[in-house]
Amino acid sequence: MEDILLLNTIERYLEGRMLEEERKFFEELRTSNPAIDQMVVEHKLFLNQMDEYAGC
Amino acid sequence: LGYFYPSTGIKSTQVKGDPNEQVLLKALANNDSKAAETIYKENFNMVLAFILNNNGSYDEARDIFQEAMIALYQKAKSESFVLTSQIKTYVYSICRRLWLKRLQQLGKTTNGIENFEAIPVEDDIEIHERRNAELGIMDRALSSLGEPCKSLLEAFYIEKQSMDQIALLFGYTNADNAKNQKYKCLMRLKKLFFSQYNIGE
Repeated sequence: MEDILLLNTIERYLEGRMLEEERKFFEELRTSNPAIDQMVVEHKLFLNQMDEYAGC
Repeated sequence: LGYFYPSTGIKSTQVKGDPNEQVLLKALANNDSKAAETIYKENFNMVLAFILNNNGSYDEARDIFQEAMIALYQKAKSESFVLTSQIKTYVYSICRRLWLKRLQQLGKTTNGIENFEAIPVEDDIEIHERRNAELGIMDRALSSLGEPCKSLLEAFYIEKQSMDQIALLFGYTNADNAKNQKYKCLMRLKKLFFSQYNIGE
């Protein structure tokens, strides 16, 4: 269940649906945790590809 | 690879962008179907003549023109886009380059008949082809997911439906169960996608 929460958090972050304080906290987490940073980068790439695909 | 380009006269075709054409491209970027129609009317016959003159058919010309329209649309949509040539020159150059590539793949040759001057578009073609390849990876990854994963993810990420709507549509008893399933499907899709995407990079 933790992974699904983390993914939801990443999606909320990428879609700009976080409050300022939460966003700051999450960005600090990204800075200090390379694994989470990598997940964000990867998921952003994936969502961009999905959007491109959706636009066809 | 520069051999398709004439060594002289390239720069002369790079005229400054026409303001009317800028407006037309802006409309195209905003999915205005009239803009697409205008560009088609003003350019298709030129492309058709070139392809018919060089061992191609009407259907092949339509295919190639369609590819060029997508490339032009993508270019018009990008924020950094600046029109440095006429649309006609750009469309012709893309079609010409794509067609010469296609002929090469088919082991056919060109008759060397040119009806227009071309500008170098190698970089744009490369971007266009990379994009096509990436879309192909996503398409194959989605297809091999199977149902209901494919439809579920498409409903969420492409049709942008809410999890409540999706739960209802797919018959889940509540949105949390649908979310759970969506998560599992997503992990599978990402695994499939990235196993191919990395190879292509």
